[in-house]
Amino acid sequence: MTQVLICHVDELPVGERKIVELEGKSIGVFNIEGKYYAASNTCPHRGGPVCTGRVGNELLADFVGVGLRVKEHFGPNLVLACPWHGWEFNMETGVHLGDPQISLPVYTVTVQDKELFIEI
Amino acid sequence: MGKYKYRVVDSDAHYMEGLDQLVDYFPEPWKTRMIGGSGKDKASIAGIYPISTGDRSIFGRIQRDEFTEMQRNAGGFVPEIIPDVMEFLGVDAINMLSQKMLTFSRIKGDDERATLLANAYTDYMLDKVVDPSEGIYTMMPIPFQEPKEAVELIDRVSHEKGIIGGCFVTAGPEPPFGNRKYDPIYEAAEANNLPVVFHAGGGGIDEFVSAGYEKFIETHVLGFLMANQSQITSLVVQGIPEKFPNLKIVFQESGVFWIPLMMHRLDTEYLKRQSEAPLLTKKPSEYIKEMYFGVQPLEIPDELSYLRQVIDMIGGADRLLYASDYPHWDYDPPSAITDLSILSEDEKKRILSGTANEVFGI
Repeated sequence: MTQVLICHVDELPVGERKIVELEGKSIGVFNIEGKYYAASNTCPHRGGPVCTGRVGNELLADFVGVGLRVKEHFGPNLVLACPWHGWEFNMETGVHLGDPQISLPVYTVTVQDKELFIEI
Repeated sequence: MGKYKYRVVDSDAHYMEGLDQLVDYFPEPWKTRMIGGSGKDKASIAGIYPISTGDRSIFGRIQRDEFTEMQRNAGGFVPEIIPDVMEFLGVDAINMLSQKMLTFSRIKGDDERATLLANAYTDYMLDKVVDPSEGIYTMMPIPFQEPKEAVELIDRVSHEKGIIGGCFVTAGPEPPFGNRKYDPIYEAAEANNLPVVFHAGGGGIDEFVSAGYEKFIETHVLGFLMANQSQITSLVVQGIPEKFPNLKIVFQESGVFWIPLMMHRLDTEYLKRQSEAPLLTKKPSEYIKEMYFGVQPLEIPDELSYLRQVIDMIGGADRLLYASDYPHWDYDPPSAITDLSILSEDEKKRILSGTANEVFGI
């Protein structure tokens, strides 16, 4: 593991994302409500630019009673959807929502002296 | 043991009842409505059932001489014929499902008919036909058009030893069977430990999806298949196995090659559209591999290893039930299984009777 400098924190304000090339890999770095995330920008499905995709909360559903409409709601987990085909990944773990055997590589982001690093 | 060295349970044969056999089990005013009058005023009971079209015997090419003989000896299709059918097939136990119920799903607006017929048929079968001591069983047709009444029927007769399942005909229900409307039926079936059997049927094949097919081979190849495909899709995507995890689910009468198709097609779309099936906690194929499948009409490819791969893909022989569909035009005798060189002895035993024992307790 090596620590790689990404940018100064001011260059990645809340709600923004940055796609960087590191050691030949395209990686997305996100600032979502003050928390930083990083993931491979190559979807394990067909190689789509997954980190340019929609970030949202995971859609969940509860079986609230026999004969009742299933109650759909958003859970706390953030998910990233590849814009090519909709494959969705947990932002924290990179695990595909539909199949735990599939995952997107994710990286730990650290802040040192107001500079962002990822471990790669 | 009869013709075969294995115990054989036929999970799906058909009881070819005449409607006149059921009339005594109709409550009023239906009984009088159906048989009242005389001469030219005599009511016709035939109209109570939808019918499908097509000549299943291919204009005389398929003959059932032995069946004709059985009916001649017994005086029609009456309960006394069943031991002869079992001997002919070489089966030790048989699940007789109503012939006429196979168009059940075509009953839409006048849904009282579904409840009436399901109750009358079940009472008739219990009274006159089923005999567990002789290995003769049946399934109640589920009048899903009226879920409350379906639950009442399930609660009323599930304890009967002769009733081994509740049958849903898959051709044409609106909405399809994953809809929450049917939840109470599944809840009752699960509570009564009653397997639910989704059976392809003739009702609706000619108009299913697209009218205008010209030959029966077209409507049958597509209709039975598409009916089961549409319902397994609805059940899985809507999460019925998650809502009712102890419900035993069986699909019948579309062979086996369609099963891996649905598994892989559903999985492929689920990976893209998981948010549209949010009750699921695993891939669709994993739910399908927990279901059971009647094998008839079993596809026998030139290259038998392809069939072997299909069986392996769907979870092995543990998922499969021998079913004859006798006396229908495309029935499979038990030799469809016993002759298969790709199966081990244990797998043959499992398909011929072991799975039926696990699912139906017979």
